[in-house]
Amino acid sequence: MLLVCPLFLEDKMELTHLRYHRQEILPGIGLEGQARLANAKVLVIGAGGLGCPALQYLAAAGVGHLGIADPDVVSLSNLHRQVLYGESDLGQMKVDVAKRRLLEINGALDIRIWPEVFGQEHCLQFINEYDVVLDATDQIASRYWISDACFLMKKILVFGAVSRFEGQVAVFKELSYRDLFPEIPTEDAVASCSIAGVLGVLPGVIGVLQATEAIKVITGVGQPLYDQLMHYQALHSTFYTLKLTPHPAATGYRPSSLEAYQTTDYTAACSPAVPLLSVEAWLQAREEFWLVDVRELEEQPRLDAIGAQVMPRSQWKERWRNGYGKKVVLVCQMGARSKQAAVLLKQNNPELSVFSLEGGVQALTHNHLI
Amino acid sequence: MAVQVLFFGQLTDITGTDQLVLEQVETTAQLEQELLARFPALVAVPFTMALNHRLVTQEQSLHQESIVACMPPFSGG
Repeated sequence: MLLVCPLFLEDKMELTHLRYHRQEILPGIGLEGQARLANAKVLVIGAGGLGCPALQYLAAAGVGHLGIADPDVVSLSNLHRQVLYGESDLGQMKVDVAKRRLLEINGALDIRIWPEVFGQEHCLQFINEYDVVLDATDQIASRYWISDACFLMKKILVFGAVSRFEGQVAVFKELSYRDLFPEIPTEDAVASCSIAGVLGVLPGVIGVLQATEAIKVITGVGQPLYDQLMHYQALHSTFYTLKLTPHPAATGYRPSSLEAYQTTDYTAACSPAVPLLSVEAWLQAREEFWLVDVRELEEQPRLDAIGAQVMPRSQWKERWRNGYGKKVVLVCQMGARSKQAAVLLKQNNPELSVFSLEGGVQALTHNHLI
Repeated sequence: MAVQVLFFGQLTDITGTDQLVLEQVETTAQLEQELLARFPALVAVPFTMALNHRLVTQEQSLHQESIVACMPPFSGG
């Protein structure tokens, strides 16, 4: 071990070589690779489970210019996987804490932060300033608008995503996420971490793989996962890699120009389509519907008077018995929970015709039905 | 002819397994139909297929020992 107090080393170059010595002696990286990292600009969208570990290693490796975008504050449920943050950071903006921590790791870095929602407009405006973009977000819509922007602007995108015990990483160069999944699925069809859960270390593995790929792209060492998707299954300790081919449907779904991109509504495209049923419409054809109260048993007022079946959401089984021969209309207090429940019910029982009662019990009360 | 099929992510909730062997399927389209017949709930979940580690974007014929992977999108981060 070389014990030299950095303060006594006046030559900045010498300090830099000392710091990155073990990386610089690697074949394929060397002084040139390290210089490329120092000059590189990497934009990390999302400073959560994937962004934290990716940023830590990019900063430590000496990637000179980092952009970090995240509109969230640190919350308690983040701490099991978002390793840049601690208990004393709760309630603070993630980008502020992340920048502080990363500068503690490597004070020479130039870090730019976006504490606001980094949306389509930001993509168009800022992506061009960066060499590589990391998608470390956690929503299906952002997967598409980031991928489309990078594709249209010919920017290399390092994609990462997780679910429960599994993760995916890809580097899109000639092709894009649209070649894998051309059409945006609705949000309810893709399990999110807040609903499906995630093993804390999993985004760590995938985020570090994203950082690894970015470093390979920048330095030119090895073979980056260009236009391939790698899947990691933590439970079996297995990797599966697939090579992308241009999907004939991708072009049709992707905005054809930057102008078209600006007017594409990604959020609307993936919002779940649950048909709502108004109280008036229900009253007109009451006998066609099977009214199901999804509220918990203690919630008032009860709906016995209008013949609602009681099936508290917490007691649902995945499959429902069929054969009632009626359309199902779910009701909750305000209409929000029944909407979510309807999405799930439809997903697990595609053969059922499912509706959510608009306005819930409140609307029923308003119409003097209870 | 036996074809091995791998399932990833939430697809395994529907299939109850992460792999199975299908007999008498000649093409990727037939295989998809067979899967939907066996597991009707798959219709509600988007997924893409890869044949021998290469993305399937049009119908392809299957052979003995072909491996088909069914991969859903993940959104979590």
